[in-house]
Amino acid sequence: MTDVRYRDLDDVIHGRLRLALMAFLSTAREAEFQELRDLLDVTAGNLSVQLRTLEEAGHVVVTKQHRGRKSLTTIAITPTGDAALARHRAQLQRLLGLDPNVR
Amino acid sequence: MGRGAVPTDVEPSGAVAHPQSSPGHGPATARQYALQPPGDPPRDVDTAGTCPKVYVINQFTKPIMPTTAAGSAAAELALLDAIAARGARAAAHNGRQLVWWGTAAALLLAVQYVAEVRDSAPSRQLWWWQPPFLLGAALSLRAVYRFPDRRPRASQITRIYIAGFATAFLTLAAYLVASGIATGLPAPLATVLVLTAVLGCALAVVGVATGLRPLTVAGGGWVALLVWFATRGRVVPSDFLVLAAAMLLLVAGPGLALARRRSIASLLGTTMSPT
Repeated sequence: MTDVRYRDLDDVIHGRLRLALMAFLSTAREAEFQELRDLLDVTAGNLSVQLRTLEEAGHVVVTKQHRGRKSLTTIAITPTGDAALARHRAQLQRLLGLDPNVR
Repeated sequence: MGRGAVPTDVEPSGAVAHPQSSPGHGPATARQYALQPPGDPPRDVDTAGTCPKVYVINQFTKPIMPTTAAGSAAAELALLDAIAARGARAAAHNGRQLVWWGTAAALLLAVQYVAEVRDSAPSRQLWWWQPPFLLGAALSLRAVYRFPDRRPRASQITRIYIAGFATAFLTLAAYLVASGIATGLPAPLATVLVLTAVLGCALAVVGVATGLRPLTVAGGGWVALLVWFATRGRVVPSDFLVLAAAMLLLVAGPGLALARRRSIASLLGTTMSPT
């Protein structure tokens, strides 16, 4: 094998929904729970699980606010999340650059 | 990377009949990405030994059944790019607003410079366009979010953005009106110092609070301009052009940077056309 260190791929980010969340937040910087749920067409429970995983890893910050009867949950990417996604991109880049014809 | 070490996603309900997202079947959407079945880890690839590269690529490519792993990796990244692009658009409206107002302010400052040097209008009247302009900019901050497909006004970024810039614009307008009424013409040096300080603080605070780095950098630029003016201790007519350039570079510029944010695909240097 070459210098591609596939073991360095971030397991937390590598999950499909989590990677989609990080990709969106990397550019949007911050989003509402409902916005992410609509974007990815997932259930609230599923999204909560994925966000909790990202939050525990320090990749995102989840803020909950209450305004009367309404609650507003916002999710923001952290510098740690930015760095982790950048590392993940770099790993993928190296990976794709190795042999584009691998089957 | 053994199977047990990889977190498994909880997949969305109804994910069995996911739409085809393979190349040539229409544009990629974020929803297609989310609806793909579990591939984490792939069930039919031995990850323990012979070919970890195939395993990793298949993590991204297996569900869309590509002809080649590398080509499908690009297709998979195209889906991610669609998601990142959607995220960029969510924040980009902030950028567009800065482009509009920064460019308009630059043009008006340039016109004011021409009027000053040609003496085509009394100096005591030339500054009166500024408070209504700033008031309009502050009011538009809220109004622009009424358009569809904009980030909700309740969003934290939106609230920080509106609060930061509305405070800055209204502070400047109030200063100009108060100073103009008191003395007939706002003192040039004091006005420039207030302008650079207020805009610098607003951009820096909004940039730091929202993580929008181009705004933070622009805030630093305005503060540097403040120091330069304070050190020089006087204002000359050509400073209208300096301020006009600053409006383009340090207001419209960061707005353009936000609106044109690069996607994951471009960061990876990957061809996003389906293969």
